[in-house]
Amino acid sequence: MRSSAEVKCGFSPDLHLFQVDGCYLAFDVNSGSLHRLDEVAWHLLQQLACGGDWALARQEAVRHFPPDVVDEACRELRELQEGGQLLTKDQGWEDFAPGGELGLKALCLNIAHTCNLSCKYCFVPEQLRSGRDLMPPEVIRAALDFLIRETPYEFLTVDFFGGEPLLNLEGVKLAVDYALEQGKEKKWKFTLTTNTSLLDDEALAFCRRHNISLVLSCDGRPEVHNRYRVTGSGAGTSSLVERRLKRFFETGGCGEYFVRGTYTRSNLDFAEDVRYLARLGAGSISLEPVVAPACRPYALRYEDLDRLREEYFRLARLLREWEASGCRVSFYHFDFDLMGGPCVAKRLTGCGAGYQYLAVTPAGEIYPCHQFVGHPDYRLGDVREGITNPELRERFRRAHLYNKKPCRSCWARFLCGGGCHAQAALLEGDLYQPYPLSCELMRARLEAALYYMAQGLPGKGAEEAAAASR
Amino acid sequence: METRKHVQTVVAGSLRKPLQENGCGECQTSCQSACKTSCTVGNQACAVRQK
Repeated sequence: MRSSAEVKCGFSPDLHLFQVDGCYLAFDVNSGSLHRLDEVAWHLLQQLACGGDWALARQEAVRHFPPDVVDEACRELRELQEGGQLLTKDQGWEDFAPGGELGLKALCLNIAHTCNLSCKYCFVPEQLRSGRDLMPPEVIRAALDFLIRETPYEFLTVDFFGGEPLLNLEGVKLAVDYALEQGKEKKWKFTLTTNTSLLDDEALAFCRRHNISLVLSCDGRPEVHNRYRVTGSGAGTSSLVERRLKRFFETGGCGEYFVRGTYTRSNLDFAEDVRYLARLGAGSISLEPVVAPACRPYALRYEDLDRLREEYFRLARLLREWEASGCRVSFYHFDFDLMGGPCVAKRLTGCGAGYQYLAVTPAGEIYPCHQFVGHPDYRLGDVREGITNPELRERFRRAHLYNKKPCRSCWARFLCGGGCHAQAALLEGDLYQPYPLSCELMRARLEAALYYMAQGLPGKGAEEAAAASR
Repeated sequence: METRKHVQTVVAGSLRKPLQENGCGECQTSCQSACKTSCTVGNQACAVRQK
């Protein structure tokens, strides 16, 4: 159905060519431009990408297409090259890599380590979840004092995470009030990630009042959700979560939210879960690959990659079909703004974990991000003492694109930003080596995102999407 | 209005232009908004442009 032509020579780190359902696409890595090609232009670009010059590319192309048509396509491609939108070279942006000037700007407060669910794939270590830890008021205040003291920025973010943060709603309220009071001159954004089971009217009213962005966990179809998202006694939670979600939508939702699910190798057909969530009323959806060591039965495997790649493309087609019928659903990872988006420096730094973004435990310990919590080798400090392991912070600061060898030649580097530090460190064993399976998944998802964008061209989307899915 | 016959530009990228942008650091750190496990930077917004 589709084939990818990631060219292995010549321009390969700078140009990505792939085709899907007869749609030929060229992504110019260094300009961030995306072009849709006809067969002639595709043929020419393949030759050029393999190191051939224009004369050779033309010579090869005229064996298959009329010379005047080939010349016309050559002119168009050259125009784009001259305009800096095609066949561009890497600018060597090492100078934009982060130095000491980037400071702290966000905290993930694990406001409750305890959880009322026992999701089987949860990455939070069991000993933390099974405790009853709630972040006490003095730690909440010390954490926010630390953020306000350390940050050079105007825009600050606090995430409420866990465990289940709504088990400490009083702590969340205290944190919001304290942040707004102590950081009056700052612009605050709050987010709360919840398993949704405790999102009652009181919690929802509070979140709305303070414009808290919500990440609402639900994996989709009941049989999918109930397989892993269970109570301590093993009971599924789908019906409770769905009731909460329906109430959330019926009463107007909130300013910004995502219904976020996890997919595993038990539901490689996760586009059906997106469909299910959309039917529940979700307009903003994120489905994420499970994070798990390879030994877990639900962990994704290399042998799943082809199926997953197809599924992302299927999802792209479905979203365009729904859009054509008047129902727009936003899938987080497909909502790219190639014309705007982040600056080059941001694209090199990735997530900022370890120096721009830190996680805090109920005891006040600081870790590089929420996924490192409970791994003592990655303890950075304490909110009362500050950063006590500056060498570790420096290692994270240096973990940018140009210090990750596989990233330097990857076509997806400026869209991906270098991948997840936690997966590199905890699954691959080296902060500077991206986890290869995640890289493959990222490239598949990005190809699908680019395809999704191309299907948004006037007259290109709906009918092709419909034809492809027939 | 684009009139090319063989190449249709879906997105004219701007990645090469902002050489003066040395990273103000005001944008959201990218794992926060939805994913929590599988971040990307390409879909992040620029906080300065949004002001």
